[in-house]
Amino acid sequence: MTMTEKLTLAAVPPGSRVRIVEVSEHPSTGRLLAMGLRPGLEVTLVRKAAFGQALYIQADYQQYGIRMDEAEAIWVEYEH
Amino acid sequence: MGGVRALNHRIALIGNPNSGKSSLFNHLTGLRQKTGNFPGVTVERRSGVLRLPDGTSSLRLVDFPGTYSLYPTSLDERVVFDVLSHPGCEDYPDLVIYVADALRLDQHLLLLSQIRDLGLPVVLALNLVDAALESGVQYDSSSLARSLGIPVISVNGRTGDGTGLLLQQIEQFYAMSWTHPSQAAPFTLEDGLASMVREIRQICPWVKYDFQALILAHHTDELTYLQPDEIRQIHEARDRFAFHPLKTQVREIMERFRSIDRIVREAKVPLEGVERSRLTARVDAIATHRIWGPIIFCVFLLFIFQAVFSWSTLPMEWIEQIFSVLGGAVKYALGAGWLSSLLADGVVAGLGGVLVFIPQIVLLFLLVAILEESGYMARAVYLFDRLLNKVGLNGRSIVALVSGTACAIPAIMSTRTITNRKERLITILVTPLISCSARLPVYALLVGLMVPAGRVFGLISYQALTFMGLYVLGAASAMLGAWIFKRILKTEEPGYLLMELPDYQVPHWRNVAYTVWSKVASFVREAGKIIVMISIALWFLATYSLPGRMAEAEAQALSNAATEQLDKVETEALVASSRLESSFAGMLGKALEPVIRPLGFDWKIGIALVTSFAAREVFVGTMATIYSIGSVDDDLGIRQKMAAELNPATGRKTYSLPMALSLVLFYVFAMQCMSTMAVVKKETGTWKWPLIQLAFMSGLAYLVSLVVYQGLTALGY
Repeated sequence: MTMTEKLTLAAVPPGSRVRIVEVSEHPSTGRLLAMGLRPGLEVTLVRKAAFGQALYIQADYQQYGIRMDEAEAIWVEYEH
Repeated sequence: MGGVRALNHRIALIGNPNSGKSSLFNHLTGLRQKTGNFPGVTVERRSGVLRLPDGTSSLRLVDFPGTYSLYPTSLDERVVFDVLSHPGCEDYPDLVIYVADALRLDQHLLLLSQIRDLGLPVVLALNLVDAALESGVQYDSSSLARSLGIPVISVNGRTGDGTGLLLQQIEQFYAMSWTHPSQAAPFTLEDGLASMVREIRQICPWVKYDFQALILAHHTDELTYLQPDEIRQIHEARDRFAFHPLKTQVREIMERFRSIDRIVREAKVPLEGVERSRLTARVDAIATHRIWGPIIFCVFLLFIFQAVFSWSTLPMEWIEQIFSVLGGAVKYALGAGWLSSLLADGVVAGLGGVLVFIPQIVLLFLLVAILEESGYMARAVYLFDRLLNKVGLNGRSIVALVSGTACAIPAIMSTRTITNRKERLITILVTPLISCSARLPVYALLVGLMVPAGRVFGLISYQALTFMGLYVLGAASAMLGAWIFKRILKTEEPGYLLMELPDYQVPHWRNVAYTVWSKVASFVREAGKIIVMISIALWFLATYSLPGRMAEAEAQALSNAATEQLDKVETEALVASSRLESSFAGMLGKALEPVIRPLGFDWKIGIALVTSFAAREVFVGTMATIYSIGSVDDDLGIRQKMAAELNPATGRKTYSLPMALSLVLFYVFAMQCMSTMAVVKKETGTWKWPLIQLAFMSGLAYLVSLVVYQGLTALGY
């Protein structure tokens, strides 16, 4: 994967460490930003829940549970 | 300091969810707190009395729901926004104590910076400084205070450290009445936006700050305190300047974070060689594992079920015995008469009916509070979000549904932890469909009557299988009901999962104790009133009748007893039966007969339906009285009498298979519980929902019983 490739948090495999570059328009955009999931933040997609639609996200001092469609609004790039 | 003594001084406690705000609140107010609702909405409002160090002054401290920003995404957050954006409102504070977790200071300073831009005086309570230190994060609080322009106090909500300094700061605030240093907004308004804001400040002259004007533009239609004229003018201004709410919001938040990140970076004291604790990550590797996660959760649920179902039995029996002794004592002391009967059979029985739920409420909330406080509950929501969302429920609904097998009362009260209104309402509406422990005596009586004692392959008894079938039926109807309600109910809140999974921590006994205490107190205070009133009404119906009617029935019963040469116990039982039959409840039962005849029920069942509206288990007691059985505990006696009864019209057994099945199914689905209705009224704030619930559950029960009875009868059973 090249570092210029633009992809969403929903598309990266578990275990990936990525940096958020943009949060696109979504009913939860304001909430995502206010909860600290904002451009510049580095996060790890730790695992997916049993039924596949919830993601476990790890930031420096914080963990988040997030739905697949919410993750599709978060654009990320790989660390380099 | 004269003015400080008055309680109309208000201080608001505000912060993000999981900032440790509630612990701090408990420390500041102790037991001088009470729980209610914010005006007009069912959002929990905790308020308490704050005593200042001078010993004489006290103030009102209001704990606001946890909020991420002044752009609300739930009703809880809306309350914070409504109050803080409206200086004229009742709960508008003099001073804000803002609680932020030191580990996540950047995220938590966002709301603080917004509140400060509304011109509110703020004190920052920097919480869990010691925990942050263990993770290698330390701040120079004087640097923070300088760059934020507000006082900063380090506190520990769990131990209460720093609360003394916080109180001193509050005292100082009122003594010197320091005003907020006017700060330039940390984000710049573009030219067009600045003109729009100026215009809005002219439309609403009470608006003192630019940011206040900006959020009025953002939420124009949702603010109930704006006049129609103001709304129209603000809309015109928005259109003229091509205001784009979401773009402006995103730009504002990003600009705020830029300035916050700089402030946090400058105040951070470098600490070398400290690693962040891996405990949470290690536990979550198992607790949120795709296979182990659900298994562990099921083990917790079994444990909760066991506790609420079994451990509460003994204390519940004690409470029942105490009240039965008390009732007897009242009758003995006052002798026979209406007052004695009212007090013993109406009031004391009603009070007993309220207090008997306390052991279950205490046990359930003890366990739920521990799961919630430890941080585990958020994981349950994460694990089951997908599955439950399909039927309109929430991960936290599982706790309510499982505790509903013991009793719907504490189960419905536990839904307060579901923040999405629609999901919470659906959970409340379907929980009473889960077969609770009060249905057990009814099931036991009727299953014993209709199902033979044999075993399948000599292993599992037919009766046990029938029991299980009834429970499965209840659970399935709850799921189906949820699925239907999901489609019917409208919501203004977008559905989302997005939530924090807080670090695990040892539950603090103080917070657990306050949760349990406030649940019990609010149940007794609010639902208790309704339960006692209905209990008195049912007592009246079962004890009184039209003038002369009951005396006539009693005389008739006595003469019958004399001709049949019954002994004293049998005579008393016959008299009780005749009195009940001639009472208002008996008349109601008979009036009901045409309605319930298609289900195979006679007037005797009608009476039992009326009386067992108090609680389902009363069915058994009423049947005992109707069939003149002296003792309520004589289950076998009632069953024999019921089984032996013949239908005078057909000459066949009254309790045929179709009729018994129809009756037991009626009890699976019907509401038949005034306490549940009282609690639903308390939790939803209106009679609308309990009445809808009563209607759809009774309707469902009627329909199922009708189909089963008529179907089986037509098939020749």
